[in-house]
Amino acid sequence: MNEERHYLFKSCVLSAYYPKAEDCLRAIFDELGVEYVNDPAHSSCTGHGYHAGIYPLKTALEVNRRNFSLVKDSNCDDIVASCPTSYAMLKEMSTLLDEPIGVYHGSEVIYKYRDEISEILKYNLEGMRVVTHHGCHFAKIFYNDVTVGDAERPVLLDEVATSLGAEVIDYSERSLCCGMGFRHLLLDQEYCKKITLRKLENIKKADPDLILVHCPGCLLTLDRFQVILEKETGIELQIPVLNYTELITLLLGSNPDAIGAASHHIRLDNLIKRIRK
Amino acid sequence: MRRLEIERKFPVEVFEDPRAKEIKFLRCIQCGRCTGGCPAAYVFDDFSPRKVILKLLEGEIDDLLRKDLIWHCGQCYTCHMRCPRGNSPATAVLILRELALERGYSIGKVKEIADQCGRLMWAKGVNFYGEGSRELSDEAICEVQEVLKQSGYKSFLEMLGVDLP
Repeated sequence: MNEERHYLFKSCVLSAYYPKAEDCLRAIFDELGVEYVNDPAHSSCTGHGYHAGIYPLKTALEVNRRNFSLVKDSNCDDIVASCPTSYAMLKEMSTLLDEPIGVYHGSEVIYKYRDEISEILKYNLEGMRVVTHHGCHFAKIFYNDVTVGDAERPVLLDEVATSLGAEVIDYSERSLCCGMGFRHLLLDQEYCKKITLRKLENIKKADPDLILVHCPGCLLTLDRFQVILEKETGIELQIPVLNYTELITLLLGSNPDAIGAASHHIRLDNLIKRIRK
Repeated sequence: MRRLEIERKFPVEVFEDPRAKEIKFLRCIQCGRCTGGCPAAYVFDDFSPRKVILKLLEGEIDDLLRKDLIWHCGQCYTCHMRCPRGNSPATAVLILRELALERGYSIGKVKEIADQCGRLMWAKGVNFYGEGSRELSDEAICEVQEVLKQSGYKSFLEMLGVDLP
C-alpha cells in the first residue's frame, strides 16, 4: 500500500443507507493525516448490479474503464474502496482491462494505522464483547490477497477491535455469508431471512455487545433484518451492528449524530451510553 | 453411482468468457465441497453448485439456462474460495446468467430489479443526505449515460423491456 495518496472509491449502498458512515472514513483519514482524493465524478463500480445479474460484463468493464481513467487523472497511487464488493470488482475489472493499479479496502488502511488510532482515542471498548464479520467479497474472491488471517478466517477487524480495547469473541460459522445475496435482497428475501437468521442466531449464542463489520451490504442486512426477523420469528435479537468507520469515529469523540446513529434500525443508544460513560 | 461423462463439445460461450480464463472447470472432481458450504444450497433444496458444474461439463447448458437453478446463487463466493481444484461455480453462475438473458430466457429474474434500480437511489447516484456524500454532476451523468449506451447497456435494458428515465 502506497503511503502517498489514495483515490477514495465510495459505496452506493453505504452512501444511500448509512451516508454518515461513508463520511466517517474521510473524518478518520483527516484525523490521521492520510491523503486521499474525494472525487465526486466516479460512478458506481456496478458491483451490486453485476452480481445480481443485471449488468453484463461488457457494461461493467466500460463503466469501470471510465472510473480507472479518473483515477489516473487524479495522480493517485492506489484505490481505497469503502465497500468490499467495489474492492473485488475493481480488482477483477483492472485485471480484465489490463489496467494495473493497487486496490485496497478502507479497513486495510485503518488496520495499518491501528496503533496510531489507539493513541488518539477519547473512549475505548474496554469491557466490551465484540464479534466481527468480514465481507465475503473481501475475503473470498481474491482469497490469496487476505493478509491478516486467511480467507477462511480473516482477522483484520478482530485486530482492529482489539486495538480499540475490545474483547473479540468467537462464534460458530464465522465465514457464513450475512445473507444479502445481491439479487435476493432486491427481489425475493427468502434467502436473506434464512441465512441472516442462521448467522444472527450463531452470533447471539456468543452474547456480544456489538457486531463489527466493514461491508455496507453486511451492515444493511444484519441491521435491517433483525427487525424483520424479530417480528416474524419472535426471537429477540437487538444486537447493534456498526461499521468500523462509525465505531472509530465515535471512539475518537464524535457525537452520535456525526456517525448517523439514527439511520440504524437497531438502536445504538445504550451502546453509545456505555461507550461514552 | 454414475460415471461423469464429460461432453467433448464444451459450451464455448462459457469456456471462452474472459472470466473463465483462470477457472479450472475441467479439473472438477465432483467432491461437493462447494455445495457443503453453500448458503443457497441450505435455503433452496434443488440448488447445488456441484450440480451446476456437472451439468456444464456434461454439456447440458440449455437446461441450466432455461431453469431457475442459476438464479438461486447468492454470489458469496464461498465455493470459489474453498474449491480444492481451482474451480469457481460462482463465476460459472455469473457467466450462465448473462448467457440466459442474452438468449431471452429468465428475463423475469432481473426485470424487476432493473425496474427498481432505475427508480431508487442509484438512479442518479444521489443519496438521501443533503450534504452529498455522493452526488454526480450533470457532466458525469452524461458521461456515464454515454458509456452505458456505447457498451450496449441501453439495448440490453430494451431487450429486458425496461424503460429507464
